[in-house]
Amino acid sequence: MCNLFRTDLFRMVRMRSFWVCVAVSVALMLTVAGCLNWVASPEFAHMVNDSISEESLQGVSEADRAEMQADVDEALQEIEPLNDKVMESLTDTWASTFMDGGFLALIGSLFAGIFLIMDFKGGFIKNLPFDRRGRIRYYAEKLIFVAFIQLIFLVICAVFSTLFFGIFGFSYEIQDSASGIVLWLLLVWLVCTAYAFIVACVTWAIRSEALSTVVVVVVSSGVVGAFAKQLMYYLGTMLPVFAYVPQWMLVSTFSDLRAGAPALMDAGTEGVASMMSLAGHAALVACIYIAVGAVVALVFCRKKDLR
Amino acid sequence: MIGLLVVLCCIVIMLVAIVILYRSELLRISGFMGSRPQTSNLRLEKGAPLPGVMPLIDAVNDNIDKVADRELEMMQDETDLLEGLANLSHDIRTPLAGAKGYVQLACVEEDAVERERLLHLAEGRLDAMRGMLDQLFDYTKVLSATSAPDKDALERIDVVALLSSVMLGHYPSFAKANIEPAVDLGDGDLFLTADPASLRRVFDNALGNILVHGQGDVCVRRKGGVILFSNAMDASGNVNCDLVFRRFYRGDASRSATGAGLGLAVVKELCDEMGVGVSASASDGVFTLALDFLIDR
Amino acid sequence: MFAVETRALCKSYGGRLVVNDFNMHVAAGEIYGFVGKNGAGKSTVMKMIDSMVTPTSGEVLLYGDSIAHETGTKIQATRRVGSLIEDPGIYPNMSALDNLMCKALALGISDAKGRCVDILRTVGLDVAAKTRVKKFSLGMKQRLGVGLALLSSPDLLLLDEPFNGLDPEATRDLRSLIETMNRTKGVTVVISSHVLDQLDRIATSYGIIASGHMVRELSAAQVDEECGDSLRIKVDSPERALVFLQEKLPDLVFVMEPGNIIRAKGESDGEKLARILHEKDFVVLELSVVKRDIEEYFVELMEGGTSNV
Repeated sequence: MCNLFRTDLFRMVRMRSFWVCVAVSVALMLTVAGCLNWVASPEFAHMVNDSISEESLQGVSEADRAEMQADVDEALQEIEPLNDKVMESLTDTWASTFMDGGFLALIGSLFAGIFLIMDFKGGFIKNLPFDRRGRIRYYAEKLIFVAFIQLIFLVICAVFSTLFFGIFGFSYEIQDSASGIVLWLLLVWLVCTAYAFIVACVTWAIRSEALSTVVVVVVSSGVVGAFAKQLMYYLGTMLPVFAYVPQWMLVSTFSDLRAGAPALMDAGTEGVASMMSLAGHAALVACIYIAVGAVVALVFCRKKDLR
Repeated sequence: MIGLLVVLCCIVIMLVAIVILYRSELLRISGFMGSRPQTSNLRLEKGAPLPGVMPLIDAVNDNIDKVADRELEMMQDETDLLEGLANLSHDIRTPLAGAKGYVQLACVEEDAVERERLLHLAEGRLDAMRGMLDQLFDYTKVLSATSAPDKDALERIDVVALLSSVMLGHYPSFAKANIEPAVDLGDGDLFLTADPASLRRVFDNALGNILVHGQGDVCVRRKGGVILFSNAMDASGNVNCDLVFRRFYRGDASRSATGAGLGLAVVKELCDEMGVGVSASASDGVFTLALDFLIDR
Repeated sequence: MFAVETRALCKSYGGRLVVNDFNMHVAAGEIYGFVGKNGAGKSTVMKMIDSMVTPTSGEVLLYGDSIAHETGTKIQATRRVGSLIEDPGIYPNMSALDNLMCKALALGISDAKGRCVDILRTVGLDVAAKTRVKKFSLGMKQRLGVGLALLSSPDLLLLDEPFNGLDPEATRDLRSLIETMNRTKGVTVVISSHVLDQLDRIATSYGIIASGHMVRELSAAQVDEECGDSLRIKVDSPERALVFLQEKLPDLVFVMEPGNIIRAKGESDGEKLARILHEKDFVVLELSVVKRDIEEYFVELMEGGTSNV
């Protein structure tokens, strides 16, 4: 398996799509940091105030005008700390930078999908030993490599976002403990790996680049998850058992982690989640999906022949 | 405190894992060596990047490569030998058939003069055949002598004197073929410690080669410690200087000239044994055989 | 021991039996020509031998070991196989050298770079080493495929239609490469091909498949024998000779061809005929052996019929 890992590393650094994904990630980190930097600037505050200048309020009544002013004042007060370039915490910053919108899971799964399908597209897989032992080794190593890919993108996003926020002069209200940061990163990595494993299983089962990309876009970004969650809640009103399903969905775990490191040790709110800390619950859910993905890959996908 | 314990546990687990990895790699290597079929082309694969094991794997593969190369060389030698022997038997069969043919014709020939002529021709064919067999016999003798050299026969030889004596012996043959070699054996002594019979044979064969294959200008000269035998080749002659010392090699593809192609092969064997450098070159229609007596020093 | 042996090998796709009770025997050191029509199941059989496809039933044995069973610390027989089946498996966006390096690293080959450069030289792609494979012509891709197959120093080489897309020079090069591998390294080669005259030059034995079933396995010598040679005879008085031969040798078929040439079908012993003609003072002007077209012979077998001698 070491040999296969070495080959995958060799191949990955020579893939144009890898460097494109890395560049996109770095660019996004810069963009987000840059945008927040601009929002925090005095010019922005002036711009907001000016936007409710007399001209635009020509046809509006006095009462409405006052209400709008009150709303704007309230919003500005909320982002008051931002004016001083103070973010809530490092992990919270990270969460808002690359977890909102599901970017990290998306980019990690996307590249994993591209990487895995290449073996089948050009047919290179025919060169590798594909007897029983060979297949097990192949799929096991690929699962490990997929997890490794998630780690790479997580590290890139974390490092560059910290770097850019630092360059723009941001500081953090709450200092996360080192162990908190590590734990949070570990959990995010596990969740992203779980998403990537789903994509991997689909890629290996269908062996179609187009379909695999579709799955990446709708599943790893959280779109399908959000929809399913809503559906479960709706069905839960009719059958209570459905209401427990969202706790076991990756999309919920993802949004739990959104709260950052400080919230990790808090207990959950409902059902099984209330019996353990958020961290424990997140780890459990992610590990379940990872385990299921691994079993599907090693037992079912392995049986599929090369036609 | 707990952190320290966790770190210690991790270290212990890592060490145990490394030991297990080493063990499994060593078992894999020994399993491979034990069960690898002799005739297989398989090489040992690299596994986990463990220091110390990688050089072992490379060494094992090098060894297997060397054995395979050696076997290939031996197979090639055997093929060459069989091919050479087959060619030689073909070359012997032809004059033998010719001789028999002439004798058969002579048996039914009534005219005495014609019969005389036919029998004379048959004799010529048999002589040619005998010449080839003599060469083959000499070659096998040389081979067995070089593989078991006779230390008592070694002497300090005056090379120039010996060469002069051999050339004098060949003078009648040169005269008959109308060749007058240009000879320049230089000044100063040149000595070699070797078996004089071997050196004599070398000079015999070098001159014999000229007699058989040379056309026109022949030159025997000495440059320092190197003695050069040159002869002009005919236009059709196509000599491959890399192959000229190989047994049974003959420059003319038509195999029309007599000779088994062993003359220069014997020269090479004997020179290698005596520590004399031997090489051949061909340019501008001139073939040169060079014997370097000072190559060791 | 057989390098490759299949026992009652079957494969069905969606209820349709593509390979049916297939028994194959390839001795070690042979060049085995695997012949059959399109869709007869050649590629499927090759894929099953290469473990790319799992058989529905039956066994494949490589060097005496069934590929379905694990062999513990003993060398896995599948490791000794190199193959080029249908299209070569490549990464189109990488160079030829990188493609070879990927396989070399995956197989844990010592001195991977050196070996890859050697292989490129062997298949004649050293000039195009750094070019991206998607820019290669079909012939170049085939060569790369052969290189990939040879990279692992295999003992058994499986080639499915290797001469496809190769120009005559490349075909000759590939043929001589196969012969060299077989002669110097003892590599057993199984080639499936439609190009029968290429196979004819190198194969030492043949297997003919029709409708997923092995019709016949025979050696090259047997093919020569059964291929139905005939003799072409030109004599001074052809008509008299024809009649005489027909009476003297009633078992043979004699035919008069244009130009007053007598054709003796199914007979290759020219000496015998020449003696017989000489006894009756016929002057033999020309006598030669004509080989029957191997293609015709095989096509008949591929149709599933028995050969007629």
